[in-house]
Formats: sequence, structure tokens, C-alpha cells
Amino acid sequence: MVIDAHMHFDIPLKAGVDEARRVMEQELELMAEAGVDGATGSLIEPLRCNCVAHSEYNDFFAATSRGFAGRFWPWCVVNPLDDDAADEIRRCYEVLGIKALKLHPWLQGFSCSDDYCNPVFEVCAELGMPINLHDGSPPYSATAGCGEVARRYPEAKVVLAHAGLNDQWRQARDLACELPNIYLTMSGPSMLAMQSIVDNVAADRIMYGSDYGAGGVSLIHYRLDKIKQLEMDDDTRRMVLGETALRLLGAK
Amino acid sequence: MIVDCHAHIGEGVYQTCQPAQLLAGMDASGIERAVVCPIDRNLAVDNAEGNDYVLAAAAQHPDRLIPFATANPWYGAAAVAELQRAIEAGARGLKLHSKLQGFTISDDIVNPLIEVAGEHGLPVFVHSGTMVCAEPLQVAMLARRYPSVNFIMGHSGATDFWNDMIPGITGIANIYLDTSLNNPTSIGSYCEAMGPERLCFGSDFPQNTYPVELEKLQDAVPDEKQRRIVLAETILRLLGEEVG
Repeated sequence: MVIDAHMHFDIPLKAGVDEARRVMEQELELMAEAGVDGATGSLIEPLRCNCVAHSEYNDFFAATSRGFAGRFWPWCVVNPLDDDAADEIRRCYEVLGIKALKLHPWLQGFSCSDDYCNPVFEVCAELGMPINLHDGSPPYSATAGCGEVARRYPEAKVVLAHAGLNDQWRQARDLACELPNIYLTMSGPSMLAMQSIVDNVAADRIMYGSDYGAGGVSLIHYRLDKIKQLEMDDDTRRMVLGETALRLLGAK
Repeated sequence: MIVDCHAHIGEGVYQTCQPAQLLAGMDASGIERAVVCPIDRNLAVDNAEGNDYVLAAAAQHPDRLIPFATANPWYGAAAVAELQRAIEAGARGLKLHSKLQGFTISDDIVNPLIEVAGEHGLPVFVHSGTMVCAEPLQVAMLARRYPSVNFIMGHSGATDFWNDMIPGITGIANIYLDTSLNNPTSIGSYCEAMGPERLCFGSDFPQNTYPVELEKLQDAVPDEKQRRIVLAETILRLLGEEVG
């Protein structure tokens, strides 16, 4: 089973739930044609720094995703600078049934090291909710800075969404080797980097992720091709292509 | 014909690639020729060793490998002398990697090397996509300073600089884009905005494999005529060769 563990839907809030469901069905169908059986990801709009309606977006995305159980697992988004960010995460988990959080420090304009992030990470650690962080883009999304969240919160599950991209993948690999609560989606590094990650990091912490939504369906093909060409045994391949993501989501 | 504008050979620290390994990869994917540059440590230090390695490989396979030389600008006059030596020995272009070589690509420390390449009418391949030292708009500053020199921007700004590429690079006619490591969506949009004549197929071998990079290009540039230009004609023109 192939699960895309890092993707985005570019569906505006104003589309409404019915239209959003239609788009989601269409896009999941496109992914299925590319060989992807399921996906997990966020909306794009609430990741922009001018978003002030995260609760509304989370309600909208949860309602949209409800008809796609077993095929799509939504992430909620909050702004850590909001006083009620931690409460909103708890509400997403307990009331909406959302099991993961997406943060994009670069786009959202905050540093994971700042104190106001602490309640956000604490509640995720308490709930066992994976925190998916855009990484590989200094300064706010530097891989070492994102990885530091895992060091400070050993109970938190921290996903480095790009495994360090082109320039910081060795840091992503080394952090994942050192800290058992770091997970990597390989959306961006070169083949050589990905092979080094697969050779050194436990398979139950590596995932395929296309970052679809940041680009078209060709991204799915491109990044799936890269994974398929890596040298790894069948168990590792099964984990990387889907099983790790399902376990992380509590879906397996 | 397919010509790879970006490959590395040599005995490096993080990468090693013998000419035979590169040629086997090229043969398996129908790549006729490749630009070869020194590998990681030879870009940073011991430039002459790296230049001799690519020159020797190209001398052995003159119909397949096109040597580009490097010189770390921190070596000053010695860097200029090394580049001149390598050009006299057959180097067809200059490769700069400001991240590995420890300078910012727009800083004037690099000027003497660009001037040598310019005097010989050779293209300059520059790494891009790394913050602070290799940003596309820094490459643009350099290219504006030397409008008669052609620059090939490695990775075309991947990953974080896609916003800068079309508004900042389209109007600078002496910047060409290497497709390696960039994603098919971005490459497709650059091709649409700037035309295939500004794009060169590259792999960054051994960082990436040919089958993946070639298949990506099929998605990125679906028009066969345009893809032919990207796959070979642009880099051949930059090298001053006949385009068949």
C-alpha cells in the first residue's frame, strides 16, 4: 500500500464543503492513477501568515475529509502565536478527530525555539499527535531548529517534512539517527541523499511524501520514482512507501 | 541526442564517481555526452588535482565527456593561474560552487575568474539554491556585472527560490538554467516563461540517476521539440558547438 505522507490541498475555504469534497475526490483519484492508495496532508491557505481563521479552516477540512476515511487523513493547522493555539489543537484532536498537526515556520513566520510555541508542542506530546514541520529552509525552518523540537519534547513525534532538502539532509539524517522521535518524509533531497537516509535511519521513521499541491501531479510521479529506484529490502520498501505513515497516524 | 550539462567525477569525501560509472549510467539511458566537473573536495580544495582528473577522463573519452575546470577564488592569483592552466589543457567551462568554496557568488572575489572565462568565451556553471551564498538573485547580480559571459545556474534555484526565478531571472538573457534536482512543476513553469532555449538538461550525477531525471523532464517539458532543445541544443550552443 502506498501512502503519500506529505501533500496539500489547495482548496479555498470559500469553496464550501460540497465543492471541496468534489475536488478532494478528484485529486485522490489522480493520485490513485499514479499508484498512491492514500494520503495525509493539510490545506495550503491556513499556512499563509495572514490567516486568522484557523478554527474555521480546521472545521472545514475535517468536514471535507470525513467522507474519505481510510484514504485521506487531514492535518490541522494553528498559528503558535495565537494564545488559544494549544486549545485549538486539543479541540481538533478530541472533537474533530484530526490526528496530526502541520506547521510551516517559514511561511507562518515564527521560530520553533520561541517560548510561545511551547504549549503547542506540549499538547501534541501529550496527545501523541505528530507535528509535521516544514524543514530545510533557514532561518525559521532550518532542519536543526525543527529537530530541536524533538530533543526538547522526547514524547512528541516530530516529522521533518523535507528531510533537510538539498542543503541540510545530513542534519536530518543525523538527527533521525540520534533521536527516536524524529520522522522524515523524503520530499526534496537528491537520490544520493535519500539512499544515505535509507541506509542509516530506521525504516519505521522514513516515509514517501510528494509535497503535491506545492506542484502538480508530476511531483507525485517524480518523488515516487525516486523512492522506487532506491536500493532497499522489501520490508524497508513496504515501510517507507506506506506502513510507517499508517503507524504514525495510528491507522495500523 | 542527449547531453548532460552537469555531472561530477573524481575521488571525493562524500561522493566518488569513476568515469566508468558515469559512462555506464549514460549508456544505460542513452546519454551521448556529459559535462564533467571535479567532485566535492576538489571543488573546495586541491583544485588542480580535480581539474587534472576531469581533463584526463575527457582526453580518454573525447566524444563523450566535456571537461569543466574549477578554481576556488580564495586562492587569488593562484586560482586565476590554475584556471588559465586548465583552459590551456582543454577545459571548456568554469565550474563554481560557492557553498563548497566558501564565498558568496555575487561577491567581487570571484571577478578575476569570471574575467578569465569571459576572455576565452567559456560558460560559467554556478551552483544555486543555497541561502546566503548561492541565491538566484545573487547569480543575477553577477550575470548583470558580466553581460557578455553566459552563466548556467545549477539546480535553477531549487529548492526555496522559485518565487524569485521568473520575475528575477527571465529578463537576464545570459543566465541559463540547469534542470537537475529541481521539480518538474518548477521546470515546466520556467520553460514556459523563459523558453526551452534557456534550459539545459542536467543530472548532477552521481547525486541523481538518469532514469529519474529524464522521466521528470518528460513531465516538465511535454512538447517533444522543446524537450529536444533542453536535452541537448542549449548546452551545445553555450559550448559553441554545431547543433545538428
